[in-house]
Amino acid sequence: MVLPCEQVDAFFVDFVIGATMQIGKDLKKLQPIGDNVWEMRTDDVRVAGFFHKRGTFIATGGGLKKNLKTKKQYQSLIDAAKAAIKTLGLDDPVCITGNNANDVL
Amino acid sequence: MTSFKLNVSSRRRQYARVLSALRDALARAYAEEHDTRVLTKAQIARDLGRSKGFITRKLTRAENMTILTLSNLAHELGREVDISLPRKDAAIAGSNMWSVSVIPTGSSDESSDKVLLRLPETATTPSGLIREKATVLAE
Repeated sequence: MVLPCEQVDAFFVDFVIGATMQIGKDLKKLQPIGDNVWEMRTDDVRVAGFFHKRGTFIATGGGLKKNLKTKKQYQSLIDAAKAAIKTLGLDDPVCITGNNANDVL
Repeated sequence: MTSFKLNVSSRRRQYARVLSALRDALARAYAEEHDTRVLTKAQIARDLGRSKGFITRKLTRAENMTILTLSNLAHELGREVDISLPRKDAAIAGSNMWSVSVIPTGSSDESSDKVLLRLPETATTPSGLIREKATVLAE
């Protein structure tokens, strides 16, 4: 059994070395969830954040998939990311606005 | 803002990444076979005498499986399984990863349809030098 924290660790190693984030039509490890916020998906964990630059992901929150069932629960992740986009004080443009994986990777 | 630090041993990291790479290879092979010969999970399940849920889990979750299950799935997908564990010091520069490749038999160009799943070298391994590579070849 792979623990959620191990899934996240493994995911980010893969992300850093440039592993494919979508396999076939069904297995998407990275997808936009609205308002320029992206979600990184492991089996049991969802990590939300935004892309400051191409390939530069800033994680702002996350949780166990089983605790993110409702739209409201998801919205809190999106809101946290949006707040970070506004308050982190990054150089403009603060985040990439595209909704396609090719826009951010 | 809350920050997190992941404390994952290199051994566990390798395990998680091997499972993830295995799942990715199976999912990719399934997607290809589904597209080319309309193979379905239900068909695989029927042929293997397992539930569709079992097959779906193996193709979508990075979870442990027996070598028998891997072999059976590869067989149903029309693939061979070829696993090697080359020494780290024998690897070429830049290939600090492991790979799972899906190569149609008869293809003269092995780079086509190649799926690479990669693991970085185990930097903290003392004697260190373990690198894993698995290749799945199409029949």
